Amino acid sequence: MTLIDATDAEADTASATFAAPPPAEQEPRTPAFYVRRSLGVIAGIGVLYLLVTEGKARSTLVTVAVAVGGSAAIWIGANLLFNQVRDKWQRFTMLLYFSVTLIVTTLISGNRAIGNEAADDPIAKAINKFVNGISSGTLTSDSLVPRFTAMIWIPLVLAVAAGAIGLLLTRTDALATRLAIGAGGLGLVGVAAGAFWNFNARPEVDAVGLVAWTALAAGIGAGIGFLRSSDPMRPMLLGAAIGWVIGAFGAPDIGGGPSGWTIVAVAVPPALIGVRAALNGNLALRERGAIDINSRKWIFLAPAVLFAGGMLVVPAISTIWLSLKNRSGDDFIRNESGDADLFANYRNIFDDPNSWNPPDGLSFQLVGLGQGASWILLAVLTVVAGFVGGFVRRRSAGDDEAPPVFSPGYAVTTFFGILAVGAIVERLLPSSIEQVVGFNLFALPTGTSRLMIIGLIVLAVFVGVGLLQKSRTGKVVELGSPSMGPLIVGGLLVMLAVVTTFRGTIMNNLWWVIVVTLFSTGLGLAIAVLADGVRFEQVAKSIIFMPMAISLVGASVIWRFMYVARDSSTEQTGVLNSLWVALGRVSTGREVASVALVIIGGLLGVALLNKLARKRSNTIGMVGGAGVVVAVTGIVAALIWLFAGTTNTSTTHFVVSIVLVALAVIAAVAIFVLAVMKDAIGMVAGAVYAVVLAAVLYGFASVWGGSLTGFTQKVIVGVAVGAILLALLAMTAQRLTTQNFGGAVLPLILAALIGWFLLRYLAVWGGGVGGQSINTVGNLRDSPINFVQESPWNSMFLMVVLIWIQTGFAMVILSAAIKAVPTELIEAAKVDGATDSQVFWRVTLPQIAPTIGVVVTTIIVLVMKVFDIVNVMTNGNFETQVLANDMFFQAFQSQNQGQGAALAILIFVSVLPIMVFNIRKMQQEN
Amino acid sequence: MSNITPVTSDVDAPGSLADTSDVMGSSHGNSGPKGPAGKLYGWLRSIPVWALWGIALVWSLPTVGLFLSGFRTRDAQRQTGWWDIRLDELSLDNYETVFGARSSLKDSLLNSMAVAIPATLIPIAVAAFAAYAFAWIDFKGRKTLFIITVSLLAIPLQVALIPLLRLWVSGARFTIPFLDKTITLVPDFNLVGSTTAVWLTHTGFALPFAIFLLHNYISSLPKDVFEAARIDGADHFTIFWRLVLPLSVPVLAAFAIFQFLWTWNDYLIAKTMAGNNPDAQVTTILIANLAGDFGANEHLLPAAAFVQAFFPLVVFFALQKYFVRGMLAGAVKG
Repeated sequence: MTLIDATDAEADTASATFAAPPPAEQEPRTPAFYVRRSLGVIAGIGVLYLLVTEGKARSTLVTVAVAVGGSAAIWIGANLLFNQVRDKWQRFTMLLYFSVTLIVTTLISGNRAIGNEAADDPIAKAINKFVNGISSGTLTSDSLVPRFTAMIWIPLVLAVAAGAIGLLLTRTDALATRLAIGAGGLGLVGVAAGAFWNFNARPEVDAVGLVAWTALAAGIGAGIGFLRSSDPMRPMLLGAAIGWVIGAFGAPDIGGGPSGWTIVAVAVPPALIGVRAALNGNLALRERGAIDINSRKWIFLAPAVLFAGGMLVVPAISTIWLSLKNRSGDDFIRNESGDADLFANYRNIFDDPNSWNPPDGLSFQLVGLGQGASWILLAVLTVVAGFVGGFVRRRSAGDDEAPPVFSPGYAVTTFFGILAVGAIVERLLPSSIEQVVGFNLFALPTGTSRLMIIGLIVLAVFVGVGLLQKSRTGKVVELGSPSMGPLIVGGLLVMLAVVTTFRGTIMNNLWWVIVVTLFSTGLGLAIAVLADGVRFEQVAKSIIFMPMAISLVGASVIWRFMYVARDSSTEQTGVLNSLWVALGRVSTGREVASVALVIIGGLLGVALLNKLARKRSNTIGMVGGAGVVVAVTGIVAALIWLFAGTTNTSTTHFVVSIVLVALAVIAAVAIFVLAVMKDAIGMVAGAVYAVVLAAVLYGFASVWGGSLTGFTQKVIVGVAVGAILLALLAMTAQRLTTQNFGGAVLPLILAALIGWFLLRYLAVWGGGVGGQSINTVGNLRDSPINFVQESPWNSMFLMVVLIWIQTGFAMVILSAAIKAVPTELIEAAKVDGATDSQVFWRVTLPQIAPTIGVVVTTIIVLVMKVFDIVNVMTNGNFETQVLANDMFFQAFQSQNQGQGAALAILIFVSVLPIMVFNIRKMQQEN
Repeated sequence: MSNITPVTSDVDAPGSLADTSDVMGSSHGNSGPKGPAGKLYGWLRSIPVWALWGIALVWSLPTVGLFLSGFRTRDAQRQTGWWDIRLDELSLDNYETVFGARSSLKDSLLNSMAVAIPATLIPIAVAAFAAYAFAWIDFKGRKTLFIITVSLLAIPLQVALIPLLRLWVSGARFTIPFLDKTITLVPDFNLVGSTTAVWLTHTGFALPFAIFLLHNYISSLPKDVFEAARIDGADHFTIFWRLVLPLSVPVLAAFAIFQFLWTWNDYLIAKTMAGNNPDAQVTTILIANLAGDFGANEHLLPAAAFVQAFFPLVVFFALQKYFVRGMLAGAVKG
């Protein structure tokens, strides 16, 4: 990691290879200099070695050199050409005639009008042989070089002749001589070109049409010249030349016309241009200067316009065109009356059940009512609740408060509450009553999706907490406020319910966008905040940022090894499955690691209770003391088990179990009695602990029968984990009684998770946690997750790969923004008594909001186009298809180019608003 | 949005990892109660740091695992996880195999070079010319043309792929309206399946972004430098060559690194334009094919993937400042 702070000097030197040589400057001869120098030499020797030993390396080098050198030569050549115009008129004219003729004749040659196919052309064959000899026969594809040489040698000869004529023209100012040289010379070049003219491309010229076209174009030319009040003669000649070309080649049929005609037809336009050039005379110095300056913008812009136009603008337009055709993109779909059906491909996308597949029973139906009536009733109840809420609020409102007529909070709570209750009822009631309570909002085959129910409940909690908060701060949602958590979590859960129910390509893309954007930005922000000002901040940030350097394909491969699932009879080699299976073993008591769990659990329980005891009154102190008793019990018992468990005699088990249960009961009774005496929190804790104890005893009893192994440590773990649960619940209760709702969220969530673990662990509900399952014989065995194949959550595991990469990006940008927040603002807030978290939510976050916007929009655009990860990991199988992969599949594997084009345009249209927003913003800032 | 174009300032760019640390350091450790409670408080305060290092550990785990797996034998990889690594099972066999005579990794590395080098150098050159023209050559319609060029950033890659593939297969033809004659604008060189088609596509696609980035920088160069040169009789070509290019080294380097990595790591364009030709296979395609070929050669995959990631990682560690700038600047690329 020593290279992280690469100094400017080093970086600049290294980067100089990408540009022109920097101004001559002696580099200081530091050791680093010699290291770099010797590295360069080693690299050079390596390259030479490759070139000598590998034919492929040689041909690669030739390809690269031809590509880069050729492009550079053309551009520098153009500049050098126009450098001559001021002082070296003769040379300039000669080169100009040469180049223009070369370009024009090459274009004609490329259209198979002059020159021959390589197979028939002896000269082209000879050139090929020569070129292939140089590049040892492996230069690019076989067809490229022969075709190129076949096309280029005749234009070269013609261009040299034209160059000579240009040179001759500059040597005289006499009009007659110039006319003779210009018209005659270029005419002769034309005759030569006509002689090389391909038989198949000879025009069947019609004299009347030819004269008419020529006269028309000449007239237009003259008219333009007249209007611009300059000499009409020259534009007329140019027009005549263009008209002739159209008349001779555009209008008539091309084919086997007479050769004499062809030569005339080819020769006349150059002759006309020759006349025009002769009339021009040699330019004065001032005019030449103007050419010099005006030419540059074209030279500087031409390559960019050519590439960008040819490879972006034109293809984009033709993709739109293609998407309007039929599925394979061959032709338009027409109905009986001949009208084209332009949007068939787009309709296909949205009609296809693979794009999104709404379930049949998207319904909400209360007892005895129709669907419509149920929804109307819900709406009415919502409105009524809003007014009732307003009435309640008016009665309790103080004098300085404007009495609200309608309370949106009550309304929204009612809405979500009824939905949540209905969903729960629907799920709990047996299916025979379904006709009475029909309610399968975002239904799974088994009823309303569990996620939907939990999401709706959490949203209802959000509204409730928001209302309480509103009475204190006047805002329902606020950054960092307690209501923000339930809002985000509830929204996310409902979103997950929607996307896992409405499966399909479009839904998957939506899912990707929401999850990757949210988690990359959120994690990036969290890490940026965590790392801010920490020692070795750069190292930590480098580690997080490093995945940005790895290709998406590479990242997919890396994560494939994280996700790999081996057969359950062998050891798991993927990190995640290994952990999952290990968790399963621990929770079913099959490994010594469960002892570690006991000890850690005991310590955590002690720490938490201890913390509570210090913060609160003596009552809690006693609770804490009881917790210590319980935890120490757990540890001692664990140690006993460690030694006694190996013998596995039932007497030991019995003794240990009796001791354990006795201690646990004493502890629980102590807690309960003490709590009842004084403290509400203690009461809650005690009651809950009684429940836990019941669970422990239940587990003990259930394993006594011997259906599961390792029952003793089940009891031990149960007691220890129960202590943690107790502490967490006490903490929650304490925070709730002080109306610290935000502070209650974390312990509550932890308590819920641990409670779930305990229930599963003690086999009260299901058996065990993690990658274990019971097979048909009744034995426990490893049961790994096949992360990339088990739909629908496999999509989520693919998203993890992109989150892994993009978090670094978000982190670096947000970290820079956080550091740019003025220190005075933060200091001022702290002087006013703001806590760290208040400073973050109220000062830092609003300050960096625009940057968060940038990060979010950038990631959205990137995710909309996600292709590599899906293609490599699943290729869209197992219901993980996304738009970009579908587009690739349709366009390049199924040959449905029309359909593929429509998908591409769909991606384009979806990112367009964001890109427009981004580009406008960038423009404003520059 | 200044962080999108960090290269425009020569001071340490925002977003560079080399930011001065400890700006906020004073906020740590000097508050809170003293004594045992202070100890507890200090311990609680250090939780975020541990969380940070925990995240960093999790983040590096996949890459470390891949790196270690690359050195383990086929059997070892199949039987145990990489965390069970033992000294006696380490070997360079996988690397020898992927570099060996029967493997195409070496060829694909050369192909990647044949794509990435022209696809880096040519867009830089073309974009530098255009950026200079947009910034310092006066002509009518300059602003309009520039806005059009930049707005091409909005076009996603997918939109251009089908017509470009057709272009490389069968050239480009244009039927003149009314005359009903078809002329060939680009002959059918049959470039499909060649590295040339891949880098040409990259070149076209890189331009709007490159022009935008370089224009930001070149247009912010001090005006008097140009005026002085003009008075000395320098023409545009000389100014560009002798002044602009040397002065623009930072932005050129940032873009070069970004573009090199982009093309080196690209999968979609290479797969579309040359995915079916084993002779023109780039490294990403090779690895993807290896990954798709379940079972047989899976033990070679870590080594091959690591070789593929080697150059980007070297660039990352050696030129981190430019890498970060390039990556951040490149984020806006469509």
